[in-house]
Amino acid sequence: MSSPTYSGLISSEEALEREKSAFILDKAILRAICEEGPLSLEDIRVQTLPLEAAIGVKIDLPTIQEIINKYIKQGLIWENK
Amino acid sequence: MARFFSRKDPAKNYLNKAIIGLGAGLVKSQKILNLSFGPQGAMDILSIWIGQELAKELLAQKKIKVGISDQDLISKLLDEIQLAEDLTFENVEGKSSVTIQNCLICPKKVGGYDLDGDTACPVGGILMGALTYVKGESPSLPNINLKPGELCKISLDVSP
Repeated sequence: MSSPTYSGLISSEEALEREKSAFILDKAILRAICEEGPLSLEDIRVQTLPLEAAIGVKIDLPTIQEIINKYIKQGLIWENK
Repeated sequence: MARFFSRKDPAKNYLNKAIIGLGAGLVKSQKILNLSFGPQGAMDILSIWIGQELAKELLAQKKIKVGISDQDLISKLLDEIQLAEDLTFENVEGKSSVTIQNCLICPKKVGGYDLDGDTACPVGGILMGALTYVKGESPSLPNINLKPGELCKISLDVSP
């Protein structure tokens, strides 16, 4: 079974406007998915590496997954199984 | 649930004012600076570094020790840098979270700037920077969530 990928249900502009006050990691993940989806968890992890360098704090896969799950629940992205 | 209160001390106002100025400046200059994640995104990054430096100074002044609990560190920050007047720890669905109310470093509510719908809240980043710094090298990022409104609530998952 292949690993799931994630796609945006709205444009990245709409998503970022809606999530203006969200933490930068949440916005970075949302923008990556809405602009470049479908993306796998590993693809998204690669996209967060520059942010990891900028903040000097490790961003792990469970943290990314948790944020993805939040946005799936909110109806901003969806999971392709 | 544990709740902490701190009284505002005018003698400690300088750092608050510096952070308020930073937030207002980011919002006002976002077009010139071309902030790709908006002023809140820029403030998130900057405030994480601010939080790390604050934790470093608290350690240097021996006001905290490595291994301090998240709850104790946050209450220390509350006192030392006048983060807020009211802070609550609670356990929700098996996760510990901190909610900060009556923030004292808000560019909008405390600084009085019209941010035109934007936010530049430094609280989550400062807490995250301080918490991750005292945990040691390459800590994982705690989940963070800011809900602005009449009463701002910043929640982040922390260890018990």
